Amino acid sequence: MIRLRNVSKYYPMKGGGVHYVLKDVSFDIPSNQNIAILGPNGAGKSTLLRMIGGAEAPNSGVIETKASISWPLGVQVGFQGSLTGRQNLLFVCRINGLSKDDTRKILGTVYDFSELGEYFDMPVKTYSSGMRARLSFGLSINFDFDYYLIDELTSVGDSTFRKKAKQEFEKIRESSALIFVSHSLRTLRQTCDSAIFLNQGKLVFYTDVKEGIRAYKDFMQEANPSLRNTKRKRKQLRKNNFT
Amino acid sequence: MPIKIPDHSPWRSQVLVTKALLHRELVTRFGKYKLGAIWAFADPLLSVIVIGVILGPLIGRSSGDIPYPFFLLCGFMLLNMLSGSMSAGIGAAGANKGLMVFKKVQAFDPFVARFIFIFLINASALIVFCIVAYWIGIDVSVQRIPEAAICIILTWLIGSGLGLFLGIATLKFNELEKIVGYIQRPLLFLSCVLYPLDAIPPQYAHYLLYNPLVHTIEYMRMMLFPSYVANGVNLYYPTAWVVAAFAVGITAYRNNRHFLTQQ
Repeated sequence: MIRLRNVSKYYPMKGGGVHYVLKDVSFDIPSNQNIAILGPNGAGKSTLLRMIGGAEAPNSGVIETKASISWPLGVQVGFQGSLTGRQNLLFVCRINGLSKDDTRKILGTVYDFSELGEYFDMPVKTYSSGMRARLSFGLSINFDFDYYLIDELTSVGDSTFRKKAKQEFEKIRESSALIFVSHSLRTLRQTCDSAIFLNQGKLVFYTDVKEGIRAYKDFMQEANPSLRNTKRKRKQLRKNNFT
Repeated sequence: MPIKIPDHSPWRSQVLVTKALLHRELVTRFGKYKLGAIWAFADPLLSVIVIGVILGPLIGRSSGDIPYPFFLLCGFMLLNMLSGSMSAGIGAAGANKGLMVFKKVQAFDPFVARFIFIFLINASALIVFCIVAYWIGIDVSVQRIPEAAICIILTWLIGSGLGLFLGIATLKFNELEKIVGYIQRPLLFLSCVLYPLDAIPPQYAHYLLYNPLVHTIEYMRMMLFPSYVANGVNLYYPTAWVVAAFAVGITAYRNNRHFLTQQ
């Protein structure tokens, strides 16, 4: 369980105002299910993940948990471009104080999983975004976390990687919870049980992910009516063609 | 089988993170050179040789009992300590922003690691130079090494406090980085690195004494060479600078800690 108690998070804007990501939110994130985080661009989905993962602190309020939580897994994970993949992995093992045996084991399995080959000993800045994702995902599945935070990770990489990632997710799902940010609603519907809808500093929880996605879609259509019109027109066209 | 991350005490965790960051600093700083960490020693030595060759004949005689190259080296290492930690602070947060995704790495840690790194390379270079000097027959006094060490540490602390402040301030006002560069440049001439304080006419010397680096450099020379004289220098003034620099630095950090982790 992750408890948010009166959590506020805002960013200062140019010109003096502030932009709220969360405004005095109290909420318990359940631990036994996979949760999708939905919201329009800039609502603060990634920031929420970063706060849960301990990368950023809230401006006021507290986030309490005893669970072990992964860092947000995404393309922008904390790798230093000038260091090689191996050196970056070693850094993560070092800050977590792993034993030599564990470190060696991790290097071995990540090397196999990521299929980077010679790139494993090349600077990370020479990697493509898919290669980066493979490295970061390969690393994180070697650790045993109660919660995995995933930020658009599965939308990069080629089909083999996505397939592999999906298999690993299936394994992880059994023992841990996923908190998932993705723009692919299909992925969210398949992997997640419930949903959090984040907008303008407010957080709404839906016990059924389908409900959440519906609410999100409704919201997006309301915010952008032209979207609905084109969809209707398309439907109309399709109908006409069929008849 | 996935590996459970072991639980560590906060202190142990801090040590682990600092060590890992230090290691990283070492690899990124020296990894690209063929001679590697030797540059930590070669850098000041080469600067001293170049300046010594040019200025030695001009002002070399004014350094009293201290052989001019060693006189220069003492000043140079302390100047390096100050400007090194100031520059290390600038960019510490920016270069390591990506690492904030790891819960164990806090925004303060890259600063700490970089300052320790600057201290280690400069202090070890200075110690090696002193040992070599002693060995080739320069009359370095061993009795007052603790006081000399305090001069080094004070200089480092002033640089670190200012570096912490500048590291945060330059993120908010990019122009500041340029201004700092202009201020740092004349430090070589205004800090008694090249000449002793006694060579300056007394009516101008008291202006130089506003510079804390003059105090630490000259005090250290007095400690290493008991016959060397520098009037008006003390350790209280640089200590006051340490307190002021850290007050400013930590206030800046405290007020901007959210900004530092923001992506």
